[in-house]
Amino acid sequence: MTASLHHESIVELSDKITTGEITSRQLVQVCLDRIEKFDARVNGFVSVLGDLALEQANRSDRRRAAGRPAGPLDGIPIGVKDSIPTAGIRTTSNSRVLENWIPRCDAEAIGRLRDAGAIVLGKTNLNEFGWSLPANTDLTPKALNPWNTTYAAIGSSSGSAVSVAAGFVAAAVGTDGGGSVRLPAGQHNLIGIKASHGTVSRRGMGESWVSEIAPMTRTVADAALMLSVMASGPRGSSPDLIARLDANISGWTLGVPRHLIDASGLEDEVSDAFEGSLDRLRSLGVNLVEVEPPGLAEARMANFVMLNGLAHAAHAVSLRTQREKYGQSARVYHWTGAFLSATDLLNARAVANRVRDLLQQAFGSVRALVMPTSPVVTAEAARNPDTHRKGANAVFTSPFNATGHPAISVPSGFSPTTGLPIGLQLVGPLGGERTLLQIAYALERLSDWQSVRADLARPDVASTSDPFARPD
Amino acid sequence: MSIETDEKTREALSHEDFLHMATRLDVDPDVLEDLYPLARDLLSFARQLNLLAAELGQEISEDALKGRDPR
Repeated sequence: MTASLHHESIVELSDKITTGEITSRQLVQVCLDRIEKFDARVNGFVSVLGDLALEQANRSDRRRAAGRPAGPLDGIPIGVKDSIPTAGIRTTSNSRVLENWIPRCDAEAIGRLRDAGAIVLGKTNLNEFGWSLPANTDLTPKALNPWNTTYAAIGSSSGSAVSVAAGFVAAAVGTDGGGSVRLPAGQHNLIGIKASHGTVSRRGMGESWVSEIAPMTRTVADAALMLSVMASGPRGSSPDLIARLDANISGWTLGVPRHLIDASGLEDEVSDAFEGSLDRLRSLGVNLVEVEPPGLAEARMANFVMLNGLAHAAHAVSLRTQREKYGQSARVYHWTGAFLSATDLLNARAVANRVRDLLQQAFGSVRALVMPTSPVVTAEAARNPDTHRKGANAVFTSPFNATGHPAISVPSGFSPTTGLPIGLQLVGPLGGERTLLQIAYALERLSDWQSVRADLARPDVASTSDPFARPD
Repeated sequence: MSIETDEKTREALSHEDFLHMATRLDVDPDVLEDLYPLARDLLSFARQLNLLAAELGQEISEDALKGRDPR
């Protein structure tokens, strides 16, 4: 009865709990057992909340038995990135600076998920503060990709993606300041959606011009459900993004920013997967036209400037008072923004706002833009110091953090040489989350990738002749 | 952050200028070697964006937002 629960969607699990086929306690126990068995191989979590989660599952089951479920996520275990504050739960950002910090309040978005009945099963791994290169000296070692554990997981919300792909939780929450939800979602055969700026509240986490709290799920319907619950507005009046998911997208026109794609240094395997996805869209009756919205290169630069400035501002005091607690890479990355002036930051924001307005105009002729999520397959390639220090790994994702447009990463296939998943990104007009989810849903129904699982039970790929073993 | 810093973004950050700024900012000496290429590249971005700034009452030129290498 519980053998495959760890890979089922939220919608499927909710149905089983509602009909009494399983209890939330059984589901949480299945997840905890799987974490116990496999997390040491992939480092998905900084903290696992076994007893607390079981206690919450018991409460959920009592609510269900009384006919009063808390909401659409009642009894569903989720992971939350360890940089997002959770009331009463240690929140370290995977740094010794915050090793013992226990927030008093949830971030607003997490409070909404808990109000809807979600159970926080654990705090998921990230590179220190999400602004550094992972190192073996981090509080928790770097997360590894369950699809091939000889490779690291792309970040910064790496543990969130790992925990969903490995079947530890039904969904997870991360933060996306330059692609940090969409990039790991793409590399783990998951859905990751960053909503329009301001759609999901950052209250309780600190404001940001560019970073959004965002969900990662196994299916498009689950992403719609999570985002509906997390979205701002009066509690209890969330938008219903699941409604009309199955729209007929035949005849829709999508834009392909070919110049950006061709100039991005795309790896061949990513290019092949992307062209395959374009063929699938054509088979759905979608019209694809080449477009060249101005300013995407400048928006990426602006995003990088703003991220650096905001990162330094948040750490300016602690870098001096607790310097010995930072890892070397985190110290370097957080000092970089100190060299910017206020004028630099405000001019970057002005450019981002101008590109936002021009991009919004471009959506008058196309419903969405389509492009790869990442130009490269592996985290190792993404973290090449020569390009990572300029944010080139986020060439497709970060422009839309600067402009605030919604964007979603959906599965686009697998790398033949590594076995790692590859993502496809769709970008929509401001407020166009439903459109993105409808396109994503149509694509999802066209492939069976959703049913393909990372197999952690197989021996270490590095020690076998597995065809997914990393080539030298 | 200062006006002087902003003026520096108008040209590539030399190692000498970087060390001068790092001293004023009281940056940890043991990160300077790793920090220089990051700061240089970041200020190069900032310089390019500053050059796009519009005059009062005008918008940033759309034509100026075309043709740049996305990497």
